[in-house]
Amino acid sequence: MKISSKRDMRPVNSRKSNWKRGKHYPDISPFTTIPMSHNLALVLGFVVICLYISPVLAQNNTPLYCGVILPLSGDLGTSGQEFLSGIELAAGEINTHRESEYHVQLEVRDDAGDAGTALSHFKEMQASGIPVVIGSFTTAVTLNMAKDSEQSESTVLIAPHANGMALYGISSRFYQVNTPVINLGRFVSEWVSYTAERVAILYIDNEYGRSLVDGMVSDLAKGTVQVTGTEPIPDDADIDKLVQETLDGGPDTVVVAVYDSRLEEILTSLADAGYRGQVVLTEAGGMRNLASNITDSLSQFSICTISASTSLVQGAHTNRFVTAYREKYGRDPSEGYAGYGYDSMMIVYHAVLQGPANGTISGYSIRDGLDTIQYYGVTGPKVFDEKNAVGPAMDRWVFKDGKFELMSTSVL
Amino acid sequence: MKQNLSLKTVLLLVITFSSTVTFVSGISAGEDNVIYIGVLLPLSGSMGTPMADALELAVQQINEAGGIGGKPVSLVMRNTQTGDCMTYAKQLAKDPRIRVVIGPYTSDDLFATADIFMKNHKVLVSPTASSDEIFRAFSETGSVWRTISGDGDITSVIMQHIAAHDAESIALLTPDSSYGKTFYDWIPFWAIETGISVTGAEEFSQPEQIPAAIKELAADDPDYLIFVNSDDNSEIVSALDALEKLDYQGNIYLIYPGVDEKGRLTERLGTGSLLSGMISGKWKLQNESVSTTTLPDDTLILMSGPLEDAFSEEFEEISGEQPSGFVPQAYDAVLVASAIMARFTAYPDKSPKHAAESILLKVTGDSLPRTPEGFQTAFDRIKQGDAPIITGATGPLVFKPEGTDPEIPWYGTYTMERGMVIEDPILYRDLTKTAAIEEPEDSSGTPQPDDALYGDFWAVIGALSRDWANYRHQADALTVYQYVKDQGVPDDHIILLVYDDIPYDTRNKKPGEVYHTPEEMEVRTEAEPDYIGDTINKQMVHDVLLGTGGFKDNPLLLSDENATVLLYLSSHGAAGGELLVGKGEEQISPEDFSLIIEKMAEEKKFKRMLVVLESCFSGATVENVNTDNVILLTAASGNETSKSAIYDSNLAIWLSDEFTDELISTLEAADPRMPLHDLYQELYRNVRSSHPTLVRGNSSLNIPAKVFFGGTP
Repeated sequence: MKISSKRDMRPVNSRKSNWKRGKHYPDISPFTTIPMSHNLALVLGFVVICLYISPVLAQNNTPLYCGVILPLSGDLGTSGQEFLSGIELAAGEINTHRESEYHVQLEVRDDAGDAGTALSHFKEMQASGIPVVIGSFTTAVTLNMAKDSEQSESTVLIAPHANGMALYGISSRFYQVNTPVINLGRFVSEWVSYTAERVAILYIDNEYGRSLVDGMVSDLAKGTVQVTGTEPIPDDADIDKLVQETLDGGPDTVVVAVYDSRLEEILTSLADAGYRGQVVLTEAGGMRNLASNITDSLSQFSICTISASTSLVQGAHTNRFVTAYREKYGRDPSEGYAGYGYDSMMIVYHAVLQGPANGTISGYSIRDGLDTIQYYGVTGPKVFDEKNAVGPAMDRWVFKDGKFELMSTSVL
Repeated sequence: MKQNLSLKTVLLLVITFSSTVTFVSGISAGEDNVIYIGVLLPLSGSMGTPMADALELAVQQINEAGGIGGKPVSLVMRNTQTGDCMTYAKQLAKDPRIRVVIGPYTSDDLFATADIFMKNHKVLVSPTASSDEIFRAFSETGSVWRTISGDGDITSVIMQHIAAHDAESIALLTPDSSYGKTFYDWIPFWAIETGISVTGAEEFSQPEQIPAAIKELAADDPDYLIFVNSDDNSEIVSALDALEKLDYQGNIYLIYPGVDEKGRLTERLGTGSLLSGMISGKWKLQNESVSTTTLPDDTLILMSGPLEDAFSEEFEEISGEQPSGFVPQAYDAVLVASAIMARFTAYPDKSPKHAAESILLKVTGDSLPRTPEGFQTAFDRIKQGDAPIITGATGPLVFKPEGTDPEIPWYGTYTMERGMVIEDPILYRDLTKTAAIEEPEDSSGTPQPDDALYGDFWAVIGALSRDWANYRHQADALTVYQYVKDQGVPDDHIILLVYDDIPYDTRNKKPGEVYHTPEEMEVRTEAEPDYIGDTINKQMVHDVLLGTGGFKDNPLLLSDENATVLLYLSSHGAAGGELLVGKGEEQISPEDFSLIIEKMAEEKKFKRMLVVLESCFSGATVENVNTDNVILLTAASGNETSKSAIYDSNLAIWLSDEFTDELISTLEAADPRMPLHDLYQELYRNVRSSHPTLVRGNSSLNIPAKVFFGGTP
């Protein structure tokens, strides 16, 4: 196959970024702290800045069809709408950009958080020749689509946030804008190895949770930190009982890998049970609600989040995004998922710009573009590795004086 | 080390991957087929981590040969390093799976939680809580045991150790806690016994207070400065730093420091420090995670005794480290707890404390070896009704006849020489108070011509302290009042001063009542206090004794020059002899006290008077008194504390002090004509925790003691 042979000709590491592993950069300004080569960073930054300060004149006629499959209703509907808002904001900027010859046309479908519905929408989009689809939110809903993407050469699937290990490298036509959870496990394990001696892990009993725990246990086994217990949280869990069982191992640190409403209940129960040690949250999406709803409970711990994703990185680029988002939607995108929707759309656009000179948009051209882009998004750097996932970039937030504060953004 | 860590990793995966601890092939491990033992200890940090490893080693060895009757032992742990001890204690106390709990860590925590466990019929086995008060409070209850030696025994060793280095003086700095109080109480006591002077004693409640206290104590240049750290090594580091800045020529004495064989104190930085490091970009540096300080040469140390090589190797295999801190005591605590469970599971109709008493107080036969097979043999015999001697890491696990404490204290004494910790053995001697009684000059006395004429009898009896924690002071005074009244003295000749806040304190589970002995000796309901509450202050004491001032309309001491008077006061005393009033906001100094007595003589308030003081440092309170016909009897000498005696775990409070308890017991048992001299001799012998003093001035001690308590010879 043409595309495959082209990929095969390229050395595997040729598109690896120059970003060094294991460095830590407390100053998170994208142009000064991310260890890409200075020149590249400056050029990219200049390109990004130029994109947004140029006069806006719509001269773009080539349609860029992009499918969007997200949970726009149901329990995850609020999060899905945040992604969509970010995608639409990006699409609007592309469509009104003077230099752009492309006009984004979104085909939006609601999967309501159901994997079957999502797959059905995806197949329809494949059949109708849509070259690129952004979706969905969770690993469980995205998984079947990702598998299916291998079957059709014409459509590329981009997951804006899902990062369970089952997704990593599952298909040559599937890309992950959020770093795989195994990297989260490494980050958490590394932090824990310096701050703890006895660790218990409470995790949501699904692919995401299991992936995280497997990675952490494996990483921690290499050191001296003792894993005192790993407790899956089933749907019908008795949280208080589960917390007591967690404490039975005498942990000094409890890692909580939960992203749904039970997180609040778990933290309250831990505080009520007398636990006063360190708590590490692997999800930062609900920080604001936690800080306002259970301030007293959070104050009992030394609590921080080491999330599977960066929130918005600092810098002028992000400031413009935040301003535009607020103007359009009247909301603050800082702690939600809008940035990932925005970056997903922008990645598609930059991939198209990197594609064949004749301007023909196809699944092939988008893949070529994705394989070579080095885009610095509002949620951090986006360069895909050999398994089509972006490299790790992580935020740490610390609960202090009644609210979460961003402590640092780091890359492995 | 790498190999050890690797081994540890493998073991940890096997042992601790679930919340229960150890399961070994050959024994079943269902929920109902597991012997659960609670743990309430710090399990992380410099002290906690080695204990956690020790617990796991013991459980592993017990389970290796079949657990207890084929059931594996599993620990239900609560890590108090990162949790609220009281909340955790309640969880363990209410857990129906658990009958025995290993812990708590500190003596304060033990006092705070013991009642919770005892009410829930659980037995405590602490590997670390070493305060002498624990033995005095819980021995003979069967509910509290410990595998660490009591500090009452250890303090005598410390002073023998120091005496062996030809020291003549010491100073003492202790934490303001139950643990620290043991040393504050007992080091001066044993200093008297070993003929060493105490140049100063201080307490600290915050680590920040250590440098200033060190500076003050070092100014007197004692030969040894005994520093008692409350927990982590940072306090010792702070003390050493403070001494280094001073021109101090003496040496420091440390008790249970967390040091290695080269005398190195290691501190692991906390999360806060690491967060700061993270912000500065340094947190990944390994050498940012720990700091190390080495003890200076000639430092004397008391800590765990030498361990058998086999135990050290076993521990190192599971831990990757040499045994340190309270490792052997924690290991032994698992053995003791398991033995109790072996008996309890065989006789479940009996209580856990009965199981403990039946196997720990009645041991017979030779010691069984410290091997998995030895443990199995022991547990099997225990289940059959025997009480074999189990051997732990500290040796045979045999307890005192009263329970609670190991019969023989286990310790090691060391000195730092050329950067190494060297054994410096001091053999344990079961000391009892041997310091010679200070015979009052001319103790036989010459009876005065009018000795037979005792005049009118008056008594002023007061407890000058307030608050629930000082329950015993009011109970003491009320008991003396009751005794005097029982002698037939009318109430109008007894002036009773008590704050009277105890009977209706919210913590008093028997409102209106005050006890001197649990359930036996109620002393408040029949009493008629003359002064209560805030009326009791320094000026009022002065006015009542002299019959002057603003209390003329209230009962006053109206005795005359022919009267026999008893003045009994109980309260806290401070180093230096100040007698505290209320919460300590007022103090009666030795000068104040002598002045009052002198004025009483001038006002002709007595022909003869016995002053009895139940307070710490009371020997110093009376040292300025030099008034004719006044005899002074104190609970303690001038540089030591007096001690409490009877603890009520239900009320969680001390009910009495030893000196007053002995005073009343001796009077009640004595022949009516027992002279005061003999009473003092009895008191001096029977009060084991302080050195009562008697100053007679020009008075004869041949007067029957009961005369001074309203009795008729």
